[in-house]
Amino acid sequence: MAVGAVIARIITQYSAKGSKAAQKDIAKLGKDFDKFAKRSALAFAAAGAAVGAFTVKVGTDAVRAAIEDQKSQVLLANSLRNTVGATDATIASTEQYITLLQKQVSVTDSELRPALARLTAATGSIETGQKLLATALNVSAQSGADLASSSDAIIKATRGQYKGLALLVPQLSNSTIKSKNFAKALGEVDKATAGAASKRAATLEYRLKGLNIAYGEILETLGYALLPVIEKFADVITTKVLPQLEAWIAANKDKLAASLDTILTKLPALIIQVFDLFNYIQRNLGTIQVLGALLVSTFAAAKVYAGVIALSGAINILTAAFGRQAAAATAAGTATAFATGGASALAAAAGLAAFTTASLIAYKQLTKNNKVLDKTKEVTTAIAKDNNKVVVTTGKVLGNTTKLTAEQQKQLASQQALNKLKKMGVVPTSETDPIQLEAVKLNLLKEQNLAQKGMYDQLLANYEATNRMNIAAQRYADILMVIADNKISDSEVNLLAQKWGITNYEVTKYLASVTGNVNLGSGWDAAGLAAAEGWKTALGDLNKYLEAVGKGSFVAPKNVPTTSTSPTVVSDSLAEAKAQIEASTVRLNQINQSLLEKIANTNKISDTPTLSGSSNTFIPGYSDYRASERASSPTVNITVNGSVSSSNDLTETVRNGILAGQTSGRSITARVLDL
Amino acid sequence: MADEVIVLTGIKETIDALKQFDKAAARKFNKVINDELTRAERSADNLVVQFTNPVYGTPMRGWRKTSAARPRTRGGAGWPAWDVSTIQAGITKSRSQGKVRGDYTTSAGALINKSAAGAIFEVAGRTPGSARKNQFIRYLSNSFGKASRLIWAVVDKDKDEIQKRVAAALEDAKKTLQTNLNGRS
Repeated sequence: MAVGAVIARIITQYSAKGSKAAQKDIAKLGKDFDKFAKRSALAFAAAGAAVGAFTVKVGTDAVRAAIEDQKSQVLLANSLRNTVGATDATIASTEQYITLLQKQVSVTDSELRPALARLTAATGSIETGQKLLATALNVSAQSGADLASSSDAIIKATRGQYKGLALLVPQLSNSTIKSKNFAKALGEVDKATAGAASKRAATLEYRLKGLNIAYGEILETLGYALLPVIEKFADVITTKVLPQLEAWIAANKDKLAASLDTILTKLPALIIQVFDLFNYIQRNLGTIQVLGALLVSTFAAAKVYAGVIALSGAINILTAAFGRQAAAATAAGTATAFATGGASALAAAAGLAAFTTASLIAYKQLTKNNKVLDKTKEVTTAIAKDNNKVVVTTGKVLGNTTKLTAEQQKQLASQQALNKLKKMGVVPTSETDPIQLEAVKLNLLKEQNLAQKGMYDQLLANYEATNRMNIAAQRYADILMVIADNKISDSEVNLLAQKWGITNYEVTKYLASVTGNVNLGSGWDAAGLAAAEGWKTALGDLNKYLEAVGKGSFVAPKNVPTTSTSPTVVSDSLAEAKAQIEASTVRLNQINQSLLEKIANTNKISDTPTLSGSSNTFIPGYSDYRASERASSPTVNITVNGSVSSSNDLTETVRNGILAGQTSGRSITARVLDL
Repeated sequence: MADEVIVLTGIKETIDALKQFDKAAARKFNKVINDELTRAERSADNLVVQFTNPVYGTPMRGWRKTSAARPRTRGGAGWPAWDVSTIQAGITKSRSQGKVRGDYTTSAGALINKSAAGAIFEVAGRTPGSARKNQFIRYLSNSFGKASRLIWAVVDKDKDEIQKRVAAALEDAKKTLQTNLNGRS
């Protein structure tokens, strides 16, 4: 083809090479998808685990803080309600007070709330409790004790027990302690510790602590926002996720541990691959949809294929059934079985009716099967059409794929889709090559034709068996008429022979086999009949032989008497038979003698062999024989005087003998031919 | 050029199988394909004559009718002459399968435009935007239409009908093959 020539394709055909390449590509694509699926699972597991860990970290802190804060709020509110009958508004304002106080003194609300609750309970007033809390904070700051200890000391002081408070505030005078005047004592304590909490809050330590408290407040805010979600999440996790996760981890813990390193190293590449995959799907969605339709179409054809296979199996089963039925019909069609099955005419008629019914059923089955076969033909035609559609669709799909990159072409189909279709109960053929499918279809048609031919053969056998049965039935009816007078005469035998188209002797044998009333071996003339039959058979064979050797045939006696019914007929028949037998004996003796001579001359070589064209005394030498053997077409004719044996046999015998002698190395002379 | 490709299947296999059973049927099917290709080839030949100006003997006045007297050895042989018989002789039919394309198909019948002048006339201006820059292409496109002027024009016009007829012949050949197979069974 010239360089630079313009080529315009008009007819495009599918290439088997391309089909195989496509199969390889699809198989490789399936493997790629498998690999991708495995690696994706690992990657997503890693990403999920990382996000989960971060979420758990943040969420745990926030939710934990919120839970703790909520807990302390609930306890404070409950205490206030129980002790002072606080309303919700009072509780809310108290919470605001706690929040402000927390920021001022850098003491957590979880410490402030219990202290306030206990102080309020001890004094019976929220307002008093708040004042005592301020004092407790100063005492705590002054003494270095925690807020709870300071609050306890003040509460005990309200009950007249000043020892603890005196330990925390040494400035408390003994006179005040002894007077047990709480107001006075409180005044001294306030005086001694005033401003201590504020000053402590201004130190670096408590400023940092204040930041921590502020962060805690943020976490609590986040936690409160997350709490409803967390509650639902916790419910789902508890009831649905955790059980499955536990089971999955129990099953895969070893693999998880082993794949951790792989996850960390391959995660970036996988993210790129995921992007490429989604990008590819987005750009080729139409092609993928067409491919899906193609796969479904192929599998639909595979269903039809399976149906045709099943139908072929059914046809084979039916053919076997016909065979058995034909065999049964053949057995039933024999005269003996007929008579045995129905010794009476009624039983015989019943047997015939049964066979006829069976034949009718067989005929109906075959007719029905022919309809099924017609339907099969339609189905296979539909397969062919579908196949063409698939091929056209394939062409379109593959035409579209030319626009894709080489890498994308490898991702045309997914083995996972095939597996899904398998799960749907569609059993595909392993062949995807349209040409191979066409070959499969042709083979199916061929198989069906074979099966159909087998069925017709069996039907023909049935038909023949039916004919035999009809003949047997007719003969049986004839026999019933003949034996109505309890005897069978010669004339009746002759009539039956003419009607049935067989010899008298065959009629006699048939009567014997059917009725069992004619005994060829026990009558007075049994020996004669047997001898006549034997002579007849021998004579037939002899005539065949004589004809073969070119001699005239011996005229065989005809209509050998079978049974006799009157003495005169018997005597005449005996005389005639005697004459025939004597003549036959003389003739047979002559023939026998001749035959023995021929056999003797045939089985061995004459003592004085002669070669054709030569006198009896001419014996060729070895060199002459070899010369004649080397001739282009040597001819050796051997004639035996008075013999009718084949010269070819003798020629072959001599030739083999000469060759055997040559092989042995012995010299060959004319006298050594008797090997 | 047509984008959609109708792919026939089993052409080669059917012919090969038919040759074993019924050579006459194989010849008949081959004749259908050859006749269709010959008809397309003649159509393209007629287009060559049709596009040749009877006054100038070329599609356009400036197109030389004879090859350069002293063709250059370096830089090519110069602008190819427009010779109707040469261009018509260069338009041939081919049933060579050729290479398997990326879409897993091969050719079962094609037209080829081999001559240099014919190829230029066929594809000149195919590159987008080239018509604006080149007066030759602009005149060619205005007078004879866009690129795909000879064999591709025939193919674009008659391809569907040709494919239908070949597909019908292929179906007949398959039926004949099926009949032969049935007869053997």
